[in-house]
Amino acid sequence: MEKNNIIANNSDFLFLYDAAQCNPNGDPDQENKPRMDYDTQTNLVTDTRLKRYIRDYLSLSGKYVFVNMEDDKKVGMDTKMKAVLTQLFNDSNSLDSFFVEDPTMKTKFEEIKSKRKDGEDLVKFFVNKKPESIELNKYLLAQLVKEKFTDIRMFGCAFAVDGFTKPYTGPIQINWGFSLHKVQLMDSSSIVTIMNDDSSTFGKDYRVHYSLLAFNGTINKFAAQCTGLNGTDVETFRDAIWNSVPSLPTRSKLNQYPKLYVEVVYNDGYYNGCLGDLRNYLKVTPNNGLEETQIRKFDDLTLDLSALKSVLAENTGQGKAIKEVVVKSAAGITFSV
Amino acid sequence: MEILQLDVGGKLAHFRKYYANNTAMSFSIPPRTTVMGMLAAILGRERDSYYEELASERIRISVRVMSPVKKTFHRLNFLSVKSKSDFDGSGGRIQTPFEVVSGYDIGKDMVIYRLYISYSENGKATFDELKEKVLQKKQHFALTLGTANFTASLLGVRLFEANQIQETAADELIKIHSAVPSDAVERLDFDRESAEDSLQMVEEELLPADFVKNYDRELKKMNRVLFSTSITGVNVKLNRMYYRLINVDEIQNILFLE
Repeated sequence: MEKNNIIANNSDFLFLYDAAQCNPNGDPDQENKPRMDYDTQTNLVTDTRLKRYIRDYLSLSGKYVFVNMEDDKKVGMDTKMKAVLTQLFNDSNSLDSFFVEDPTMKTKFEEIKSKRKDGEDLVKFFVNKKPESIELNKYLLAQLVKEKFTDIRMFGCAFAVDGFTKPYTGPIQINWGFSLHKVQLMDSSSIVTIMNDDSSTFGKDYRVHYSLLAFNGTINKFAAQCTGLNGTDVETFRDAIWNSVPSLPTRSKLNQYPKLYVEVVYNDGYYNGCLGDLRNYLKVTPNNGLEETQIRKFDDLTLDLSALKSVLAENTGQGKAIKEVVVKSAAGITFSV
Repeated sequence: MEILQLDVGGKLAHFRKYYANNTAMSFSIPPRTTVMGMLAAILGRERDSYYEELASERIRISVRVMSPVKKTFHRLNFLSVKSKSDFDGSGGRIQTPFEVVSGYDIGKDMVIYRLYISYSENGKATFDELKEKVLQKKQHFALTLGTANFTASLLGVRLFEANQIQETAADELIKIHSAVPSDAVERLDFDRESAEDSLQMVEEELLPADFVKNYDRELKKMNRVLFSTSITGVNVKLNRMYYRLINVDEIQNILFLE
């Protein structure tokens, strides 16, 4: 079964996307201006912004995402968990596969079920401030994560549901992204909403001219054992990180496209971070005598990947760190090891 | 006696000041408890399971800043959670100031800390296991600087053996490279004019040191600590012995945070 195919290799990855005339990540402290380090004119994007693209994309492609709304409504974690359990208990097929790993749990479950009057009562038995069956609750949560919650297998979650309180550290961790060059903000324009006459509001619309953003992340095989991150999940993640950014183009998130994804899969015996933060091997220089802040499009800059290429080449081969390198690149960028 | 020197670096760091409520402020250096967590990650110990194994009585820890750090605030849009049902967002959002430690230029610089690790008699087994792991670069969980998303890596490892370590008495002002416990300091000499790095700052903080073994992150011990936020160290007169770590390129003077 798929769930037993937990990843067996550590890997580190690098992800680049660019943003033109949009707001990659609003800073609520600065009138929702793009998040910036003003000292150095560096544009910043948090990991949570990137993970929201991925969760929304997973959800759109029919995967079950726990950190999300239920039927387009905001619901509490307790309600969410109740909905998940109700669905599960009504589906005998998936319930059977739930107990494959430990059949004694099934016996316990059946025993409890026979004593409860209906499905709702059964769910209440588990989602309860003082659960009577801590062991079974733990088992159910672990199986839910392994079988249903794709986002939690990837990014973890601090569960705070009655009877199901457990923090999961995600095997996939993404650092904040930053622009590889100095970024200039556009002059803002006022926008107005006129949904109805009584409550129209003015707002400012802040954007960056252009920003080439870089993220570094890790996938840890030991943390994967806890959430059950499997090989298929990693494939899903690679697809999602690449396709999710342009897939939900709201007004402030238009014109954002993936540029490069390089995942370094390590051999057994090699560990996360052994090449350091992969962004240290990148260099961006403006073309045609432009200043960095005058960069307006990808063609205005040169992305130098030679240092990355040589460090990956040096560490690939018999008895060395790298098992394989997974590359996705946009038109106009060629990268291979 | 042996001392392990570990250089850990990343782009960003956040060491939460646990006593701040809404504002997520950060210490400038990882407190002892954070270093315990880093060592536990290398060793592959489970969350919250290592409070006794890595306690001050067993494992000796100190920290040195290896790259000048700056701290900036960013506003994060967190869920406002006053009761459990607010996890859905029905309690609205709250804009939380979040302090981030970085190098001067996030794009080009890194945040690097040098950790010094040693042991008391009953911590030797743990120390030996750690030594084995880091010398072969076999850390278990991924290293991070404070929060799980601020990924970090082990940049360098050096082992000082007994003949490279001198326990020395200090009668005069001496440059200490690591952070020092405040109560070891008789006098601090800070002359900005003569400092090699005019941007250097000396900070004093009350840092968490040990947890009670109840899996609840309840503090058992705090250390008042003095340190420089740049690589240069602090010029101090001490009331106790310090350690000189000797290798060809540098002599480092350190004290453990205890």
